[in-house]
Amino acid sequence: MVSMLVTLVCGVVVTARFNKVEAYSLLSWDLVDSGKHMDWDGSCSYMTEWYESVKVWNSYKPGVIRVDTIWIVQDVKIKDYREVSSTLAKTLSTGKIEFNTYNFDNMTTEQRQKTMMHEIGHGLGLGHVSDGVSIMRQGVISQTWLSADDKAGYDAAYKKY
Amino acid sequence: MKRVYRIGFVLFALIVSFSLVACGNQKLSGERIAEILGTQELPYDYVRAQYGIDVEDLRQVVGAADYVFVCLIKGYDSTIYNDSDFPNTQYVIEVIANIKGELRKNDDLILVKSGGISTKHEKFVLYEYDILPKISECYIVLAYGQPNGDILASGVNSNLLIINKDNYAIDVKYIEITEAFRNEVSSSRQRFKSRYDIHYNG
Ligand SMILES: [Zn+2]
Repeated sequence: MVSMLVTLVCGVVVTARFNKVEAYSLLSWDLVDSGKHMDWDGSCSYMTEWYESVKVWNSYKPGVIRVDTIWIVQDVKIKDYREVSSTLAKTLSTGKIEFNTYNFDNMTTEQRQKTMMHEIGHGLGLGHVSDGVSIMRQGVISQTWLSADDKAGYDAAYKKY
Repeated sequence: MKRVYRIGFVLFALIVSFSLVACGNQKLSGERIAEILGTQELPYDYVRAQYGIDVEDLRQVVGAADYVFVCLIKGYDSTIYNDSDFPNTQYVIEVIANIKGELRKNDDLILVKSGGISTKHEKFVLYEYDILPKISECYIVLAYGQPNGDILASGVNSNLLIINKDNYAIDVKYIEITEAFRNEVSSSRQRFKSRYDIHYNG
């Protein structure tokens, strides 16, 4: 009886820990090239936040996200768009990342940075998560650091590049 | 003589391959696009988006929208790309009933919908979990007035299919949306009137 209980409790703990490990999702695509680089060009209205966002991802895996030069092929192009809607930003599988200035103009620096870090996450192959404090969750959020789940997702995505 | 034949063959091969390339890049007609909006025979490429609201919460979607109305999708007008790979489909619609805001009825209006056929016409590009309206169907549309007077339906839950076309008032989606409107969660932001608004004055 006691051993049965112990087994049951262990099972619950293992399941809970397993779920914790799986708190990220991967897309079927990414914008990273076969050399394990995501080379970007283009520009937008909030370049300070963009450079900060790149820096945070690169602080976890140095040198993956690089600014495009004439010697390398561009993987990602960033740009602004302006429309009255609730969309903050979008990432296309064709390598375009676009920011809606109608909403960005009314957001804080931290909210803009979270939104940009999130879109970079899609470029790196990460999908959405519905809970936790991840960069990869939806919404206007002030978060400028990667959660353990974001890092775990990036580790898993990196193996697929 | 042999040489002439050879040149002729090379020319023929060139013409054939050029015309094959041309066919491969051939754009679809408006009628064909209108048709495949219904048949869904092209693959979908889903775009990842972040929203300023919880798009699953209809009270927030209604609150954010300027216009909420029941309409018939009468036809396909065109697709615009605004210097982007992301398409916007322009539909011809007729408003049947206004729920929030007051758009002109008994008239053909243009509804802009985020998403549509790709620049090369080889796939549909659409926000993840979103739906492109089909011609001849009825929808509740939740749209934003634009500075240029357009009405834009953008993102998840910006058009909801009315199954009970003949009696929309008893359709489950209509009941859900009118309930959401009574409890709408409004966001403060700069709003614009549509040129189709009966109170529009330029
Ligand atoms: Zn996203």
